[in-house]
Amino acid sequence: MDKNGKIFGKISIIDLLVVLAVIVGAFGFSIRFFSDAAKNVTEKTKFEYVVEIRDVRVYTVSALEKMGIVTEKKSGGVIGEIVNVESEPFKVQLAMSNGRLVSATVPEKYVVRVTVVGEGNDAANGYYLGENVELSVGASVTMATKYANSSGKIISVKKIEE
Amino acid sequence: MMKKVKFSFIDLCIVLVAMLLVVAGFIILKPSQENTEQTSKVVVTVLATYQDAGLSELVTAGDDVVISFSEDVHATVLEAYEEQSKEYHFNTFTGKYITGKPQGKSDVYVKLTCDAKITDTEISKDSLPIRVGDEMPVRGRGYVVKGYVIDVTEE
Repeated sequence: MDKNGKIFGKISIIDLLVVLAVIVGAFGFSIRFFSDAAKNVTEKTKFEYVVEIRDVRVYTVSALEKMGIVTEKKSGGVIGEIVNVESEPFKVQLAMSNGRLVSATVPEKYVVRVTVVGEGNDAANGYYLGENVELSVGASVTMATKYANSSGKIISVKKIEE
Repeated sequence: MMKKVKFSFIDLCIVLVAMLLVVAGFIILKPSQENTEQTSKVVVTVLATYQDAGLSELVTAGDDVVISFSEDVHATVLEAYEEQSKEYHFNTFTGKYITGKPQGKSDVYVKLTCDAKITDTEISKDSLPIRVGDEMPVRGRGYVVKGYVIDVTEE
């Protein structure tokens, strides 16, 4: 390098650093978005899933029936949009005095099944929604819509579009 | 004479980096821009079950109340009323629930109004989200009604 900061009197060290920065940036960008591993992690897939919310009052049912965008309560990340809401009276199995089990309807309580369509990731170790919300049958999800806040259990998951 | 402008490879690299930054910024900021936001009046109904009868008489229309446990978030009372509380007990002989009416206990309903920020995903007053199912106190001068939000309506 000479006294002007040029290598072999021609290439500026600053120019060289800029070129190196661009090469490193391009390499990082390609790894992040175009490598096979990245495709496994970031490939967007559309899912339809059903969340069952038990033991709620009619107020929650009415608020969920207004539908809309669903967010995960803790992260605030969008996890889909409600496409259908079904509800029925909430029943529990209880023992009678003779020991027989009966299915009894709990007054003023309901079970709601909320069908949600949302974009997520079909990763190597499972399905994920929003900011790493696990999308698995049996997993609990704390969901919030514009009007309602409740938590339930995922009872079905279907991949509808890649 | 105008000096001839030289456009070197390095300049091209800098332009490319700048363009990449602009594109990345657009991708990151786009979703938040799509979420429309407006301010509007909302009516919130809070239900506190199994309270001592007569509690609603302490709550008066026009009262300025605090509706958060931890923050100074205010609303105005529109009306307050109460209904006889109900209790449900499972009858182990008939296999059905029976309804009881506990003496001296009431379900207290308080209707409130406030200006709220409304987006596609949330209705909130200051930093407090207001949704059906949220626990909410109604703290006025000399009383507190601790209940749950059962209705949120935009005006």
